[in-house]
Amino acid sequence: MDSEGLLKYITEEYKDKIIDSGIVGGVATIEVKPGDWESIAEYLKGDMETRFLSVSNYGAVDYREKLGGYQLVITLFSYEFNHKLTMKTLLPAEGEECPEIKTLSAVWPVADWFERETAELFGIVFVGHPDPRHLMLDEDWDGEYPMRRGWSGRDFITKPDK
Amino acid sequence: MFELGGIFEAIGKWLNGFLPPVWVTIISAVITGLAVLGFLSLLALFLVWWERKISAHMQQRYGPMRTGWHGVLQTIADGVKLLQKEDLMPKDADRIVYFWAPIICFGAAFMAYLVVPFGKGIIVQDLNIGILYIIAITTFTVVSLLMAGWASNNKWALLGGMRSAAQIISYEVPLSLAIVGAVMLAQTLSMNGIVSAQAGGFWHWYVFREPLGFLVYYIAATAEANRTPFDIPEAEQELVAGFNIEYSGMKFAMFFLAEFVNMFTVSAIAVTLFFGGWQPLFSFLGFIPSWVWFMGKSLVSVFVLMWFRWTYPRIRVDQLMNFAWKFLLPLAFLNIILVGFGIVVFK
Amino acid sequence: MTVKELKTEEFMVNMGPQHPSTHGVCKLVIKMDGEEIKEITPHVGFLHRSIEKIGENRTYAQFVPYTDRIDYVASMNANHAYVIAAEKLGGVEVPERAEYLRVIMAELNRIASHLVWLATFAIDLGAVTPFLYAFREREMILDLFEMTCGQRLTYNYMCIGGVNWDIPKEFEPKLREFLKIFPSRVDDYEDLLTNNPIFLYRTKNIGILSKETAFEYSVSGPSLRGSGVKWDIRKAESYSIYDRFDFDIPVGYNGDAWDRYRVRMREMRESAKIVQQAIDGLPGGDIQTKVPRTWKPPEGEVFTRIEAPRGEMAYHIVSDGSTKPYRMKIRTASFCNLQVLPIIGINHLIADLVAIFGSLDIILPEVDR
Repeated sequence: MDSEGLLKYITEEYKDKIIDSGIVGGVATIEVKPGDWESIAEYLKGDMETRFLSVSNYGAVDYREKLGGYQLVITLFSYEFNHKLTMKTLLPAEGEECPEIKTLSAVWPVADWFERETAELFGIVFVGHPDPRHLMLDEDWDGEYPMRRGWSGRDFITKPDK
Repeated sequence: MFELGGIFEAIGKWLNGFLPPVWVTIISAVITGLAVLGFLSLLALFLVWWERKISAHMQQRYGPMRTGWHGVLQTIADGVKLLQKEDLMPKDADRIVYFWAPIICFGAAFMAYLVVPFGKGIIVQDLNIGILYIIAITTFTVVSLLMAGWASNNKWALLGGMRSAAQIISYEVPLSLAIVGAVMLAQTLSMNGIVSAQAGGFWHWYVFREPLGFLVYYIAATAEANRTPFDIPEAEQELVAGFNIEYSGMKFAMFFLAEFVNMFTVSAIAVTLFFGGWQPLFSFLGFIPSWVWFMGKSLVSVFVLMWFRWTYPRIRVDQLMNFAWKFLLPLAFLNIILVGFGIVVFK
Repeated sequence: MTVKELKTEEFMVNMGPQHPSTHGVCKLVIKMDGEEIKEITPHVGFLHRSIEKIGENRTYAQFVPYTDRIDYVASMNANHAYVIAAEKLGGVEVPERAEYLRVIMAELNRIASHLVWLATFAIDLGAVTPFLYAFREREMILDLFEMTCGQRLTYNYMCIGGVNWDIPKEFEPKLREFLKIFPSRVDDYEDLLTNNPIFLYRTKNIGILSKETAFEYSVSGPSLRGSGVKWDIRKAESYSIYDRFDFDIPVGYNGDAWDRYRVRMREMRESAKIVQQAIDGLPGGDIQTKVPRTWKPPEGEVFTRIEAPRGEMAYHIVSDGSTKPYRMKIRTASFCNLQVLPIIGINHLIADLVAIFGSLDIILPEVDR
């Protein structure tokens, strides 16, 4: 299926769960509610028409200023049909709040590290994650989320005492 | 004229003039021993340099070029550097064992040369159980490696020590059995005796009488000397440096030199047992001194060992064991049977 | 006392971050029973420079040199992945000649990257000599890069809208000479390794990566193709101008270390074929569409991916219409490929782990970014 056909199929199949859909940069894109995040992912993986066996990319965007929350973006693809789908969801959050969402690592094991990275860099809590340790940052790093907009590494440069 | 053996004889005769015979034996043994020790130390330095040059040329490099002619003094420079290095010891190391491991390794490597005939009459002591002595003394290496691995208090070192114990003990068996063939043919355990039994041209060499025995010996000896493809106790890519990971300075240098001396040992034994020792290729080439023949043959064998190292990947530890017990050992037995048949049929 | 009554103890070993066979700074905490591996926990992040954060604070053109540092063994491909994403975001047309030059450079860099992999893989198995043979040919490629862009490791060659420099006139004869001798040199490496019994013992049936596991962990690149999946983004999505060239996608059968080795060896030959076709068809003309220094792409999002030497390298760029990206997510192949190591590495010996790690061709700056 090409992007349009895929998008049509998915919007018809899951129309009550999809908030928004469209083609962004040639890739079929859907937006779902945070509560449906995991269930839709499972459907998409199991659906014989879509067969999204693999994850191409999985990350978050800090939209707190614009939309009032973090957007999780996952790009799925299928080796079999050679098509891609981007799925998004907006996690409402304000200030230093850490929003919560169900983990996808049970659906795609590869999401494990992607989620660990997103969790420590954006401060998003993935509920039910099998291994919620830090991935990139130090084990004792706490309470700071470097990829949030407005965070600056300059705060962490300690100048030597004179 | 150039036979060095004569010098030792002459010294013996001269001493006999004014000393009781017991003292003469002791003094001449000490002199020969010191000569061999000095010679081997120089040889080890040379071998280190030689290996570096050979590997370099096999890999389209030059190797050491700056210190002396084509870098011949490089090993000496490295030795001086190692002498100046701090002698570190890990905090929780077993101090006594840690200290003695390199010394035993070094000592065992050199002691094997007591019975190696370098040439006609150049032998420290021609023991009548010479070859048995060599098998016994080279096994000391495994003790030292195990000591080093255990005493370093490092998991990688311990793994290396364990590997070396498993490996050398396994390969000791086919190695000894391969030697039995030569002993059967020569009807003696004395090194000089084995050499004289192969006199009279290259067709008398045992490598042509029992090629299978030579093959088993050479493969097992490569493992015994911890050379690639059997260098698993060191395995710098897996165990970083294995048993000698914590050693520095002169202690490391001792392990390092011992490795090269061991490589020469196994080559020297191979030459003695299978290539006629110091006997010339043809008897009319006898004008070339016997020690030249011995050194030449041994260095060719060393070269082949180096060639192995720079060509083959390293074999895995369990495959190594399988190879020793399931392949080399039956082959060694087969060799003994064949040699026995040969002796019965042709004599 | 029987063998079963003897008490054995599992112990933990830290492999890395300064272990020679982890190809950079990766720490593997291994639980071992004797020499057998029971559990592997990779610890990454030692090279984390937060390049994604840097991307949010640099203009689009300023970011190109940073892409070199994501995968410094294949900088050209890393450049390529980024500029394609940025051009798609802004709708920039690239001149024909620039596309050809990009393909030539990317494929040469793929060969160079595979040569580095071959060299280190052979060393991991204890064979030191192929290392220097492989580096001999890599040197020729680096010379070609050097005469084009003056750099030997981090090229900063591609820019948004084309390439930064045209090739000098001595480039083409040198390249043709390289293409002429390269296949015979690959034969040399194969003579040294491919059918060497020790090499076969060490790689056959070691670290078998099944198709299913590869899909679940989104393994990509030669590691995936070694498991028998005919998947190459150059063919599947034919970005740039890859649809104009004729090349095969080599695949393996069992997904063991040997298959991954074979796939990469054959890929080098295929890449040389692509370079040959590209240099033969190289058109004249401009090498760059002028893009202003303070280039502002329209507001929007883009997701593009390319086939880098280690697998899929993807960029997800969000633009808010300013000179700097609003968010840039970089997906690298090693990040996903490394995750299968704890799955395929267990119940092997420590020596096999080194072989498996080498055969996956992980490069740590790409994992950590």
